Amino acid sequence: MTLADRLLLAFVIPGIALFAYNTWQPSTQAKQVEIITPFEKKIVPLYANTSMMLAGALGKSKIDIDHHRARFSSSPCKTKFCIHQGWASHSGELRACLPNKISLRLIGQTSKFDSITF
Amino acid sequence: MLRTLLFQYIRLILVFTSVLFTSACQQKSESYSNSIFALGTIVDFTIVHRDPAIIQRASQSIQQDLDYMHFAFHAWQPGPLSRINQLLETTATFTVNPSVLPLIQTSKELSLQSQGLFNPAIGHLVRLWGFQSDFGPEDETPPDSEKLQQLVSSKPSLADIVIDNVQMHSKNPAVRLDMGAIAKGYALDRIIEHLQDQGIQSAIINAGGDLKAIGQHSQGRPWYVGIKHPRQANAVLAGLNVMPGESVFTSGDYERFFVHENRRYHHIIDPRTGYPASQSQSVTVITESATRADAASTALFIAGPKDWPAIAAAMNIKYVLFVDAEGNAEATPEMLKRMQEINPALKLISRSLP
Repeated sequence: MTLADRLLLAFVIPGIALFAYNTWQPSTQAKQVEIITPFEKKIVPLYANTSMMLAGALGKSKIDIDHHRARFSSSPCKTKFCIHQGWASHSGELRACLPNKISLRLIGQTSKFDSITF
Repeated sequence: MLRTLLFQYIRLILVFTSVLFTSACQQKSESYSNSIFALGTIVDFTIVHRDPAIIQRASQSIQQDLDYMHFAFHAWQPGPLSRINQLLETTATFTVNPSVLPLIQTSKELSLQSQGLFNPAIGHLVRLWGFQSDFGPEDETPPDSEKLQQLVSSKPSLADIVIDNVQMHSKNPAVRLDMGAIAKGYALDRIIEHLQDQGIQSAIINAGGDLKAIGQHSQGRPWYVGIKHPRQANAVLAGLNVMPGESVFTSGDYERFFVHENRRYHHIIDPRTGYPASQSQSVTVITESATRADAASTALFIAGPKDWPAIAAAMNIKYVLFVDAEGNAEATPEMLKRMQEINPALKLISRSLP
């Protein structure tokens, strides 16, 4: 293998890997998060790292925003499924606490998909 | 000769100008998206129309329709279906609430086609597992196996329900209806019909991961949908163009479940065993009727890797993507042709229906 071949492999393989990673992610990085509760609907920017307590149907849920991601970090629901879902980090991703009727969806650059079936 | 050419030239200019004017006068279609809590889940929808007033009215009608159907089809809160369950248990004949009768009739047909794998009569089993709750199972442990066996051996089935015009009775007191595996699909069909009645020609509605679309995106292309990876939160298995009028439904073991002693117990109960179906991770189907798609995705999930093609054929489902418990995927050749941007990590093979 020549030096040129090695250089080619060194650049091409990571390039392909990066391309594949970006291609099979459902969407792109988000700029804002849309939060819906039984009492309000608001859009919060994702650039500031912060936490907020939001009143829901059962009680208060805590939502964290950190480095363009958002998640539920506490909630009064029993299953805590909303917390186990972890960070939402791409445009179009949804996290929800159904019992407490609070959802967050990342919005920003256009998502590749109009909808996700799951 | 020159005069003729001049006339033809002027005529061409006139036609071209009129086309330009017509396009300029047409109002641009607007796209409106919203998310609401309904049917015990999140319902996302996008409506495309050039008149904002019609969009606004249609948006309100979606919420109203969903709220009504949520009330009518709820299995454990007071309402038409829970009243029917009380009466079915008595085995006496009664008059059925007309808001629920068509759903029960359709369910009977689909249950028969699925060879009983789609079985909304197992409400007692679903309740025993704790999944008839807005907040998930109270006690996150599997139910007593003897109780489960007792319910399975009572063999509740929709074939036990006898319908005579608007009258109904059950031959089996163990029948308790839970429409969780079909109500969403039925609701989406009715909502799309209602939207079309209001003049909406393009829309997509996603109720907790199951969707139906009509028309196309405001950019003039088909609706493009991702199929979620059953085990990776931020990944998809593939993309799909959804044709006007089609429904895309997925049943998976990852949405409602609890973990007990390192084992996952999810909400899709196999009526033959009384336990959650264990041989599948997810099943995605495409067909026009959302009602059929809903019932079929559940039936195929329960059927598992050996039997899903036979059940799909019996239920007239041509497009299927099946992921087994090990994460290996099979798709019908028709589905395979439609899948785009297939996840390179997916072990996927083609499998024809019998």
